[in-house]
Amino acid sequence: MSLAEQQAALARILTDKHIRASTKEATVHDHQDWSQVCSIDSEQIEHQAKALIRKRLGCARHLLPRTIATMGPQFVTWFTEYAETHPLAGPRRYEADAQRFGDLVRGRLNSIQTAAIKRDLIDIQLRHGRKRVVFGVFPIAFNTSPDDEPTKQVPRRFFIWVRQPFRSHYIVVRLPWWRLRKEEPQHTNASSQQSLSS
Amino acid sequence: MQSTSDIQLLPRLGVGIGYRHPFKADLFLNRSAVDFLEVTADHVLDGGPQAQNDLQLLTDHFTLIPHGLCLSLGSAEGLDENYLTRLAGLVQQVDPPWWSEHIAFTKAGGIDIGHLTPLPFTNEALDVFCENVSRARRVIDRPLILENITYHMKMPGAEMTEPEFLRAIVERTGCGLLLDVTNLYTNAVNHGYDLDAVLDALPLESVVQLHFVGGHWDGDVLIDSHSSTTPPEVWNVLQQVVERGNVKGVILERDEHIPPFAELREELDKAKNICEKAWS
Repeated sequence: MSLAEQQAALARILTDKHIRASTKEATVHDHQDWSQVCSIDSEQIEHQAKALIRKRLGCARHLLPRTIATMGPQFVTWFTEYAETHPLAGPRRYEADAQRFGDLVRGRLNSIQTAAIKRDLIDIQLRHGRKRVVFGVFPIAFNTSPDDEPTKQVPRRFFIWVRQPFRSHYIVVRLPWWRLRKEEPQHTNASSQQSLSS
Repeated sequence: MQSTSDIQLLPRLGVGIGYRHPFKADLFLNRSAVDFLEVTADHVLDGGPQAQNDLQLLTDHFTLIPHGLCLSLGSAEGLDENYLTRLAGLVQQVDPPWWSEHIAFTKAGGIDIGHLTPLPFTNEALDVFCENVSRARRVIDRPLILENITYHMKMPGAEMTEPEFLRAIVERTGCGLLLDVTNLYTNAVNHGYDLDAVLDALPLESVVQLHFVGGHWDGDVLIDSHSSTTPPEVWNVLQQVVERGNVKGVILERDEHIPPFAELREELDKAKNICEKAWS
């Protein structure tokens, strides 16, 4: 087994608890291509994997302070569960990690916790990311058909204001106007069947 | 190529701290206690505009040492050229007397492990590591020093001991060592090494910088979590290395459970006392 193969196998084992479980149960003979990695003491591998999750947890703590304040010890349990099967990925990986965790658990949180995690995630986008953040959406045109009753008028065009990074600061800019797609009249099944039979 | 004599010519920076955003204001309130700062390169590279602003402010007031985490000098697949270019840009911006990275790998098989993972102490790993160091130094024209890591796994197939591996790296690359005395102590405790024998076998004359901090116990395993005050055993190792080597700088590396700055200052003052006695 070359060093590159050994390192790749180790990376997979350390970042996925299911692979660790399968290699623990199997014998070295079952995994001849991973023999060197499998010969490492499984308890030592678990400690190394725990150290890796601890590191990610430390970064998440820093990035999601309000979420931790509202979730308490549950945060550590859920984040550990998440991290055991989701390796780091992409550029600005710790920010992406916090974002993915937030998206994953948002549905399981109460309203106070959801509000906290939303604020933390927006903060990440503003302080750590380089993404545009929508600042405001303002209608600028309405239905103009004479048949429309005033109460049924709906906005058709919008200006969108975004906060976007510029060098080391942010600027607020207006995007070119944006128009809703005009609704097409929908054919009912009955009318389409009629046209087919005729 | 960097050589041992180049290392001897590096300036003596004193005692400083690894920069963390929560104590930014305290650094300026305790300016006399901090001789220099170490900035984690990845915090700046991934940190967006706020981190860039902080970096500019710190560069104006302190000597900064960039400390890389994810160059993955031990990767058999070679270096991530994009990361290396960005790191080179940071080093150029900071203009430090030296910069540092770890003797470890963090990426393999398309997976970003996200943590320092140990290398086997083999000749193959040594070749790979020295080749990657050589590549990094062709891009970043500043003295590089290399840090020992803490590890829970003992990699199989070792052809030498850890001190022999570190000595071989120093001899072949000409780089200095960033000796993390907490890591040294943690590995000795967890793997049952004789710390005095390890110190005797290490190339202490090549140690340029030290890291120190305290960790915590998880059952019978000592964890290098950078989360507590420095224990007496680590102070003892630090003192021995400062007295026996030619150390140019010492950094307190606190990451978790950051206490009021007064507590950090006590540790900085204690390290200063040890260094001043050894350097006088």
